[in-house]
Amino acid sequence: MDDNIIVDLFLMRDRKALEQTSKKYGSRLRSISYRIVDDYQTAEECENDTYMEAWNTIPPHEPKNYLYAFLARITRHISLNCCRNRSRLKRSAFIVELSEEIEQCIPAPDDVECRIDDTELSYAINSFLGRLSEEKRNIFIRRYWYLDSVTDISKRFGLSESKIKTTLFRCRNELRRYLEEEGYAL
Amino acid sequence: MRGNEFLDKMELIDPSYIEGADVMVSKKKSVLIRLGIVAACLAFIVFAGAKILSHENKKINSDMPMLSVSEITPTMGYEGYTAYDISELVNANPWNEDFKLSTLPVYQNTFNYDENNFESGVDLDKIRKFILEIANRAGLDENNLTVTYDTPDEEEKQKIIDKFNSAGVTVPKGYFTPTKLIINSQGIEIEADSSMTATVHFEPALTVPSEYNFTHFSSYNDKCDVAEYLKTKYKSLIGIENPQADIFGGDYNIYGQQQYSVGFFEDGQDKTEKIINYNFNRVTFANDDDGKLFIVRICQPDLSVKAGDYPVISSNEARQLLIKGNFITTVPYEFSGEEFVEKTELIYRTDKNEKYFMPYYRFYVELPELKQEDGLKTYGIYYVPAVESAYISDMPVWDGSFS
Repeated sequence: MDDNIIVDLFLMRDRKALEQTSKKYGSRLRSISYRIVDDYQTAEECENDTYMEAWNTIPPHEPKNYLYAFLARITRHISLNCCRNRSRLKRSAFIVELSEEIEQCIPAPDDVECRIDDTELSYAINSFLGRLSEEKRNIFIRRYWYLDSVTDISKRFGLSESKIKTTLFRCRNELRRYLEEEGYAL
Repeated sequence: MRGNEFLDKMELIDPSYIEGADVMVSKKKSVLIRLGIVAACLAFIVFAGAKILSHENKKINSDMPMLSVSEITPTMGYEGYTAYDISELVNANPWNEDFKLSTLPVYQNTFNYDENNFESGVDLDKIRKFILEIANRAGLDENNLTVTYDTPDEEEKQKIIDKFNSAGVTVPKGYFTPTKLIINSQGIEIEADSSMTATVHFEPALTVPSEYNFTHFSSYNDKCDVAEYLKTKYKSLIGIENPQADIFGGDYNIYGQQQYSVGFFEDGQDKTEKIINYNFNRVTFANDDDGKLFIVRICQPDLSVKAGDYPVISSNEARQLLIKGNFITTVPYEFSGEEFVEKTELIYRTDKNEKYFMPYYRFYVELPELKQEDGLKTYGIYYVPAVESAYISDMPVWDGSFS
């Protein structure tokens, strides 16, 4: 079913919206969550929570042109929180490791909450990503949005793990330099 | 800002970039690998040439359509069974390793979804005939029954149309198409759907004599006794000439309780007929929490469109394909290796989403990462097409992702 119609069903509070969303995107959302939480049952819970969150946020949102990305963002958010809240999930250590890794992109990390609003930060991140080659951008996103392991990224792109690590290292340095040069104080 | 907050803020990445990074890329291969491939190709050409010269080339029957493997869609969790030993997982599948089969029939599923994911091509007359036959078998007078559809009444329908119109869209085609027929009479409700499955609910549930232990966790032997009773008592409803009992299950739930189910299937004259009947002509009985007969489910998928009798591979050949990754599965773990393959069966996948009803080898593979301290193991299910790969247009190759 077309995304426009699915979003219309959400707007009309028709429960078929959930059924159609699950049919069309269920496995992809579950897959995103599974890669983050590494626990199948928890991934299913996160998928179901995604539908509930979508039900509660459409309206006011009307993601007709980006329904998958809208849902995927919710799934990612829920799954990340899930990892942090449930220390029994072995993935929580991986999330800590990734957080430390990406902290290298912040020019002057500190404990103060982000000083710029989401619109400005979104502009900064997306402008930076727009300057990268497609391959570098996708590798960066696989690592820090989809939270893939280096091994999985290596398999996906058919590149060696050391090549992936080097690319990520350079991307992090470039992002930090970009944020410094543009004067973003995070 | 710290790294954990920045990791969260990555959700601000543009949706088009997110989608772009989710597209599978064609993998780059190193020079060495490419040289290796060229060498392997040359070796293969020499080998294949020798084979062609020494053997008559296998012919493919072009009259039979190429088959496609339907995507496997998990519903509740993945397909896996928990037991202390593989021998605890039982069923009455008539196939065994000694069956030497050269061909097996493949049927086209007459059931389809349209582009809006609504059921299409629903043959209501056929379902009506089916539900009336089941009603008759359940002892209802088919001449005094009202058959209803699972569609909203006119008032509800108008409300839905108005809702769509208010959002500036028309109701998608097929939105109100009925997919189920329902009969409700004398404490029996029968629902029959387009996959030709009829579900008979008894309200109130029917009592089973006290000497039979028909509960969720009855032992295998108790379920065998129950099956004997049901076979006689509900002979007409089962509607099978020579019913074979199928006590299937034996896996444990999360509370460590072992469960078996009771079913019947029609016997057959030969090996192929036995296999077809086991997979396509089945009746299962379910009890409620009080040990009473609650539901009977009768499955008779439409086999009217036969695609052909296709050559099939042996279970050993299928095992090699499994090792190579030519399988479909809902198991969210990497294939654990040949040494963990514990059991093989030949079955037909009969889900209504299948484009073709075709045979598969079903492998029970132990998942070592899920082995519990008390020795309880989990066996994941992997399917390999049993039809020769020359007839499969999209031989599955596991790509490392989980569906």
